Amino acid sequence: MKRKITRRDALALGGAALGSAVLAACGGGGLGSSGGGSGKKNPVNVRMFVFLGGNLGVMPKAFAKEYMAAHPNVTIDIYEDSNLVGYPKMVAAKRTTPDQPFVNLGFFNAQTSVLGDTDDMWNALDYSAMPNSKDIAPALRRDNKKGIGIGADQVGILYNPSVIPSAPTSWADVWDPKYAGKLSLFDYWWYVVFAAAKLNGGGLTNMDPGWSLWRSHAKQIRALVSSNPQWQDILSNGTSSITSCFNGTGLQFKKNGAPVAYSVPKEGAIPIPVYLQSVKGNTKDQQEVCQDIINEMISPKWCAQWAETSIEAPANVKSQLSAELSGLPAFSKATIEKLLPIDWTIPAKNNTEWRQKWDQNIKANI
Amino acid sequence: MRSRSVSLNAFLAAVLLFMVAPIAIVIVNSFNSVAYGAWPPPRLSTRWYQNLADQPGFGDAAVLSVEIGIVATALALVAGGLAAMALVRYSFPGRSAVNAFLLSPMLVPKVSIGLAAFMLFLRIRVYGSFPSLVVAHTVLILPFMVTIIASGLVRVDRRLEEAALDLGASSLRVLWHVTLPQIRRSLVAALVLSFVISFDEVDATIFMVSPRQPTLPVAMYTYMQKFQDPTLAALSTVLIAATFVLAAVAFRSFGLAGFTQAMSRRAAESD
Amino acid sequence: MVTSGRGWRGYALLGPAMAAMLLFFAAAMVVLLLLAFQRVEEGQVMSGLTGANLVRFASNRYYWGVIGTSMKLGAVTVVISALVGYPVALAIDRIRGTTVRGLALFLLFSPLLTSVIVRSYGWELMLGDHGVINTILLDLHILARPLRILFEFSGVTVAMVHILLPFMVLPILGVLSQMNPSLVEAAQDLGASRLQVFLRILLPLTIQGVVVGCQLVFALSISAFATPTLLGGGRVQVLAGLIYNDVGQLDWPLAAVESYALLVLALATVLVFNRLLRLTARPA
Repeated sequence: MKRKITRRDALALGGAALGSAVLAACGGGGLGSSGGGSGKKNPVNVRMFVFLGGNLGVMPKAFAKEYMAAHPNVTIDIYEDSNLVGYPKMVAAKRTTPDQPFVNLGFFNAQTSVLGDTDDMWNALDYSAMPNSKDIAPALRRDNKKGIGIGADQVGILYNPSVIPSAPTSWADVWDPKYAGKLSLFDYWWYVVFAAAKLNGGGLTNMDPGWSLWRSHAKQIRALVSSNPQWQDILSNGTSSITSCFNGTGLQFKKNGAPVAYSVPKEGAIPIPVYLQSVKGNTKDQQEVCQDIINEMISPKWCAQWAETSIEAPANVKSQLSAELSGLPAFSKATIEKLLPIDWTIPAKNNTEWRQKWDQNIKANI
Repeated sequence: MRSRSVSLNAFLAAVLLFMVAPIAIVIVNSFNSVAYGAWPPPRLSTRWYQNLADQPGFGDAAVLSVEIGIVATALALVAGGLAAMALVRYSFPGRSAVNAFLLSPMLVPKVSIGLAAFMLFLRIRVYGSFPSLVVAHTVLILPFMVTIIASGLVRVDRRLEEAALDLGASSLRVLWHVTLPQIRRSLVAALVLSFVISFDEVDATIFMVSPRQPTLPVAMYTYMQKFQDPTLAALSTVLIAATFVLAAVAFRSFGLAGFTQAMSRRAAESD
Repeated sequence: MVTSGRGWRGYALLGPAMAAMLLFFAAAMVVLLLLAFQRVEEGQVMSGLTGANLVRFASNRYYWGVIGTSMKLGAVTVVISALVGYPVALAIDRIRGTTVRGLALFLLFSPLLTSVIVRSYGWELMLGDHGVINTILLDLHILARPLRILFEFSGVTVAMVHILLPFMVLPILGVLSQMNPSLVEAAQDLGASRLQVFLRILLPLTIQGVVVGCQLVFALSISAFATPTLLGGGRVQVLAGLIYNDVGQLDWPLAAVESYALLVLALATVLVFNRLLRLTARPA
């Protein structure tokens, strides 16, 4: 029964890929007897969710190519989408056709990973069967074994050095009235609310100081942006000269030529871990392949590649970084040590409430 | 009289300037030498056109969008034209309810329709298929077709039709030779606007297309999420240029004005 | 205006449209309706239905404010589009040279060929604090300080009118071509003033086009989310934008309720507006 679903699933997802998988399997060693024997494995097709953005697809694509060459029975489809569209599609598919997950594995940030815990989206991984998992920094392993970290981006301050000559050094600079009318934020950027709460006696479990500070400073916001090109444009053309941003995104803007620089707040940047997840509803074969793929992707080599292309800190402690990357302020030892610890279950659990507060306290008052 | 047409023409010119201004900025920006939003462009360059040509997928996506647009527009023309005829010329119980129902697809945010369609299509196992996209787009443009064609039909001179019928013309001939020529411009307006709605649709379609083969607006959305550079401005410029050439060719070779004259002459002859 | 055709033929003509509508739209709306009453707890869909989502929506004043903004944006866009679009249609209709007319139509139409993201960039440069418009007004000493248009309601309205104007002009142009020009001449020969000609002849004979144009512009502007989101800078919160967020954040029951609320409100507005306009501007 399970196997039947696999075929139909693969067929529905695209005959071409299946065809090539079958061809590859045949070429690999002829039609073997049923399972078990070495080198005679069932063709398996998996779809991997990859973040949309900059070079975030580069490492997964390179990896898939190499993995498929080494495992002729496996085909990996890359599915690039934003969390805003991709994750709802996965949940909708789970609620509609639970035995046919929309993707089989993929990259998910901490918040989506926690959200997926409550939505029951993930398979637990067998860390003991994944040799590379022992080299993953403890903070990026998960207690429930649902997924494992590959890297971590961080949120800090992005500013225009030609307008603001001395770098902002504190989270408080973001809401400093001297930048009134020059501040832009991405819509629902709860990190600055958290920072404001943290600096005023609160924290993740007590966000009220943050909300009240932003309610009174909302007028300083020139614009809430809702797309990366727009963000880059208003930072370039003088409409906005300070924002809070992912290090990776900020460096991409900089690479494009935008006059921006990333600054790490002295109170600490906010780490944004990225996990690899295997999705519930996978067939047994798919699950085996997914776990193997994930183990390979967290190897020192691929973890380092992910770090280099996505400009994130690698999760694997044995990964070697290029001098260019390790010289960035975001990757200095002091920065890493001061990262603000986040219990991701809190933003995930409070997502609806915080969004409403964002809309009603901040958006309604700018 | 003269002074009025002068002021009317001046107004038209001003409005057209308003229409073109932001588009002109887009076109100039497509020749920007840098990726970020520098204005005016520090230097001119065609690198984004080169980059556009190097992008895999935009071509196929454009073809898919044109295919969906043409098929959906054709289907909506037939279905919507007949429906407009029913709404304008017949009175029957439930007529205003039907009218409201036919307007509805343009009043529901497309993202909700997209989410519902995604679940629906998965369940009935047509997700990502061409027919499912065509049916969805047909429905999304149907309100435009119905309302615009109906607006033309209301003002059709029924006496001409009756005269033709009295003279023994079949109702199909009357439709072709008498009715349609009278609502020609409404038909063209309905066709053009419907096609462009389908061609531009992204909010619902992003849920309905298979990631394997996106439509052009979905491919553009995807590109925009990945890269922040003027490649999409270059693509928009190409679209404008291509449409201009197509429209000009159609204009020259069919001679739209002459075409309609011929149609009305034929109508007169058949009378 | 409705002639008494036999009812069954009317139904028959509706057949194909209704088939498509039932096959796709009605089915999708049923899915949304089910979502609206779904009980979701801790990410799991529970059995049984609930009216809690409806209450959650209706009892929050914030949502009503957002609905108000949506309707206001729709209304303002419709009024400006009609006031601008009617003379534009009239002017284009009177152009004698077909080439010039074709060119005018093409220019009018060209914004529809750009994606909203790219177009918004154009508007940012036009309307920004140091944008084209502010620079000109400052240079001419009409203004002392730059106008804040970008990331405000005004800027969104400008961009909405810009992109929706073709939807006003083309339907009016469609019915204008059906009008007998000698009517206007005859009225003028009889000494009617311009206003009289417009109110007594031009408008009643073209009201269908205006009604349809208003309908299309209204429908498109209240369900639009990209332009208000991109050019509103967070200041212009519309219902379609909330729905978009709720879908992305998996609050589908709320998104479904909001969609139905928007549909009902918009439909009521369109139908009432239609009736009023037809009553007041019935051809003499």
